[in-house]
Amino acid sequence: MKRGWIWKGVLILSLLWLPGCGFKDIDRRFFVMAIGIDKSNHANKPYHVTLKLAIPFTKIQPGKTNAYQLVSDDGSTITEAVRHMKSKVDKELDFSQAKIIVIGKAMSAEILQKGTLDWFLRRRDIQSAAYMALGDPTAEDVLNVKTGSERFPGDSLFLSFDQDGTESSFIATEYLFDFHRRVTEKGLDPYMPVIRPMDSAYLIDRVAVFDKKRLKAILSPEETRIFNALTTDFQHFDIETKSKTLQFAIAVQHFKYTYTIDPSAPALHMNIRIVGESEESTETLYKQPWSYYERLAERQSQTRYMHLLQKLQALQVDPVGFGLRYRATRYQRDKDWTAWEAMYPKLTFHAKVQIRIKSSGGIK
Amino acid sequence: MSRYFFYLMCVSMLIHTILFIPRVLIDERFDGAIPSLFIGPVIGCVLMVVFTRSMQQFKGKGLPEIAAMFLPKAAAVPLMLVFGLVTMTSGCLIWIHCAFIMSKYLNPDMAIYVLLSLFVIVTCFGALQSTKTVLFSLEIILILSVPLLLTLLVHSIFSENMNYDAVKAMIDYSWIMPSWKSVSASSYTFAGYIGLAVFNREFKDGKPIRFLWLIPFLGLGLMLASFFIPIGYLGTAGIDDYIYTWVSTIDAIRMKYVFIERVISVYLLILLMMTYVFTMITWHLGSQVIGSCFRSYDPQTAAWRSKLPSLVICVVIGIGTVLAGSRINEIMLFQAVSSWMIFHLPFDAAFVMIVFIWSKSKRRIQQ
Amino acid sequence: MKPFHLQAAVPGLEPSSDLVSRTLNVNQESAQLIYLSTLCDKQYIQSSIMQAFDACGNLAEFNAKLTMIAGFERIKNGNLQAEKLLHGFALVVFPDAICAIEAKKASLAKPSETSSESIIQGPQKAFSEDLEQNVQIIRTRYPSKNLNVEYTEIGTESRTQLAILYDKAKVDPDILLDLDKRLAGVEAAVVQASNQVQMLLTSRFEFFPTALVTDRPDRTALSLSKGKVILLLNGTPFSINLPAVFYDFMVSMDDAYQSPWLTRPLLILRYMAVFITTALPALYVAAVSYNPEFFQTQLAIEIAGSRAAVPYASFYEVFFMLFMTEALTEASIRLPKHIGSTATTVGGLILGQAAQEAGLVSSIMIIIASSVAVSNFVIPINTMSYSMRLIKFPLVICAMYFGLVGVVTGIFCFIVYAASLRSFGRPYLKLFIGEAKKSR
Repeated sequence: MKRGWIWKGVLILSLLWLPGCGFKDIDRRFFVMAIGIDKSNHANKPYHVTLKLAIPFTKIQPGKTNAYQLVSDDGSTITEAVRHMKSKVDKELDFSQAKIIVIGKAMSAEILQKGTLDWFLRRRDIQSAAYMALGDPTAEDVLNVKTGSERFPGDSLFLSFDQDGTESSFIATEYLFDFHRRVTEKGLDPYMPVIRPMDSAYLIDRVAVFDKKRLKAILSPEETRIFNALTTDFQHFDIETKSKTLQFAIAVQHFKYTYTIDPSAPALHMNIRIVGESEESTETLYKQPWSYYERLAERQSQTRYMHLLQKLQALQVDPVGFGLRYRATRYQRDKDWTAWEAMYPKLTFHAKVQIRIKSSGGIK
Repeated sequence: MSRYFFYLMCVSMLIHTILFIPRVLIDERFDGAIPSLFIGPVIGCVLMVVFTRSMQQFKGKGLPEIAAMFLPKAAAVPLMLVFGLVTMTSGCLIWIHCAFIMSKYLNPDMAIYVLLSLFVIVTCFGALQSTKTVLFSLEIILILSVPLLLTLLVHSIFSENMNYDAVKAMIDYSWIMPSWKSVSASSYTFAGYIGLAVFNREFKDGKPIRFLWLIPFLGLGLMLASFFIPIGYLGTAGIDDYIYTWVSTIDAIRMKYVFIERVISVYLLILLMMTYVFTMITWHLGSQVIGSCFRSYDPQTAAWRSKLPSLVICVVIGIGTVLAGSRINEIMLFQAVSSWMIFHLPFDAAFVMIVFIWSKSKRRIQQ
Repeated sequence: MKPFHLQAAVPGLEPSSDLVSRTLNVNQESAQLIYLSTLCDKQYIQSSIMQAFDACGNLAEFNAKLTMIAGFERIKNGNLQAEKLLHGFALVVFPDAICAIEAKKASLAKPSETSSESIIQGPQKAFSEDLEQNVQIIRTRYPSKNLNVEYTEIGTESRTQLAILYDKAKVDPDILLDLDKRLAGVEAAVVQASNQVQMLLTSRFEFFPTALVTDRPDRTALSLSKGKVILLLNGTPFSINLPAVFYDFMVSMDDAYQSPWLTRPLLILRYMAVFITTALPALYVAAVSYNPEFFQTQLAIEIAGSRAAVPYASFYEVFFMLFMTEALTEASIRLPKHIGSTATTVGGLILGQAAQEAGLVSSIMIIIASSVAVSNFVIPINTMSYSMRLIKFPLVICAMYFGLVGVVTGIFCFIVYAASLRSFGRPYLKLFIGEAKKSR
């Protein structure tokens, strides 16, 4: 009987020792939905960090519950800025839901530096699968947009990037871990989609390509679509074809490309196979055999692919990973890489596009 | 009972491929880690086959009983002590490693010694159960957690974010003389057979273990996956920046239509569960083997007195783990792990040889 | 003719007003008829003993006649007289011998509808409260020549009759030995319920039941066919089946009567229900207070929003709601059936709604509390669902201190604990692959 009392006493005492370390309820935390890094005007505090904090709601309603609080601060490091920011808010900052990292255009070179990029990977609570994007003109402007259809702050951006909501061929998706991989990998170069705020919406139709040191160029929307198809195997885009007499569009259902690198020439042979159905046309598609339209579309998209490949080559960037493929298919270790570095500027591209129209849609 | 042997092998393979081996092998990925992925299993499996065959000569007998048959007590006791300490130390290292991961990713504000104390107390509770109980709970927990792990593995293999070019680029480095450390580390994947030293007591039917040939393939597949998937996700060069490669890899995997968006927390919990099981096994092994040196020890009874030596050993080792865990940092841990990797293979080989010689001489006595 | 002395004939019997003692005189000889009027059937005594007496000329003839009556026993020396009286026998005391004739009133107990384990299609009647009748029910359901019935008594004061039934061809003798040992060790004074017997036979402080108590005759017959031992206690409409492993508590009798396409998913559903009813509150505390990355973004914002009105820490909220649901469950068991539904309405609907609106608990917590309660009712066997109700509290405490790590630790502990249990020598929790079903 006496032992029973001892046990009960221990139990009650242990209950009295209420949770201490690490116990913090969800309503005492501020969820950071997006992180923005800009360049500040102070020379000794170059980082201007902006955080988009979600204000919690009981019942989510599109367009009404996306209230947010934007806090920003300057610091000589990101950590310093964030630490100082904590004194501006009443709850603990929680980065575990931060799914997007927006880099101001002015910061584009710094993000490639080890120290800056590492901050995101070093923090355990920022997910490696967070999205990366370039904010044009600044990250803060991007974070400060409130769209009418959002269910919670930042929702529109998440939906655009994870291809769960809209599936746009203009939106390139880049993850944090992938960006880091591209920054470090020989023969694979980083890129980032560019977000431009437009009074209560976003426009994401361009992509910025980097070499290992800095931003090289921002591709046009038309180039971005081709870029997307090449880098991420994006399947749902369409091909517009224009000639003097007619204009038609093909919605792609299946897209696949293969390429081989011939080091002797040096040349890169790319085979692109596309299956689709026509979506829009200025004339009835049954006038001529489909092969006529197919050839027409092939010729035009071929020049587009060639144009992009040559542009990337001229910029000396390799986001598609030709160099990595070269390394993967040759067995000379580091010699492969030096060979490739010498070869890439001289490479000639041969893109061969095969398009097959499967149907003309609901009408002739 | 042969499925229990498989469970033992599986849990040790999973723990090693998740926790230790990527760290050691990926550090040496340009210096011969890939050939060691193939040499290690050969060595590991030879040792495994020799050990299981030898142990089967002694139906229903554990290592302490066998040693008592061949050695005088003065020689058997130090041998058992060394064996027990070595097995328990591998459990300790794994606990400290796991506690580092947990305190980094799941409970960042909690002191490491608090976490370790919890782990150690629970492991002691598990290790003190009877041998049968340890096997039964091993079975249940494996059945619960392996499907989840497999889902993650399959998902990561077929994900579009997995870059197979990076994997292929690594093949360039497959004709390099591997270092001792990496061979030793990859053979460690198969160290689960050591468990037979005590669990052989329950394998009384003496039937040969079926599907033993499956184990090398299973282990090789797991090792290839645990070596190449992180490289495919994090890049051949970029992987160098990560400490816990598998945790970072899992964090990079996005499973869109899973109830929990960040699978990393689920993965860490499974990892914790596996670690519990693994350390329960190693500590059970160690405490049984060391406990057998004491007179009051009797594996047949569940009496308090016969368990006392085991309890004392577990508590001592547990306190040691907590103290060590709160003193050392990650760099020291990884140094300890790599020296452990160098040390364990000769030890295992010597130990297997001893048992092999005993089994031969037993056959000779019978003839 | 010496006067009859009751104390001498039936030693140890205290006089009681329902004790009938009549002298039967014939030819100067006399015999004494003694019985307890409340236990015995007077009609039967009239038609058997009295009629036999009527037709006889002397006591020797009467004595011989009595032996013809069913249920006749001759009490040799020894002090069994009081015993027999108390079990519904009528005693006829001759000067040189004592005869006992069974004259028990027919039991009024009737098998009732199964209440603790109802199924939709299948046998609907449960056991009755009468031991003989229960044995009869089992004999009809399991007409095997190997069926062995043994009677014993349990309880030093109550001396309740206990029947031990088993299929001699299938039973494991070790279990019988073990059972005998444990029965001999029972020291309780009054034993009146099957659950009590189960408790007395197994360890009192076990978290999980290691013997299965059911009111279904069909489950009992099935257990017999699997080589289990059945205990029937007089006065309770339940049978105790042993040994019982964890899986036995998850099987409903419906599973045997319906297509596997239906029953297998239902079985999975039950295991999921076990997970929910034990781990969900703990997971909630852990995720809300330690690891909010566990939730999807939208859910996290919603939970944070609904928690914003709650001034207390998450575990107070959980304990409050769990207390309410447990109290409700308790109340609806104890209350008379007609008021019971009022309690659930008032407690469940009105109180839950009001608590949420007043900001005492978050709306997510209400969902969790009710799903915990509902999942608990899915478990087929009552004793197991009691155990599961209990387990969630240690898990919540683990979650309170260590977050998700604590929850996993708690689950690990319970798995190891369950695996360490033995039900009459059988492992309680393991996979029974390739082992014949009877060995469970």
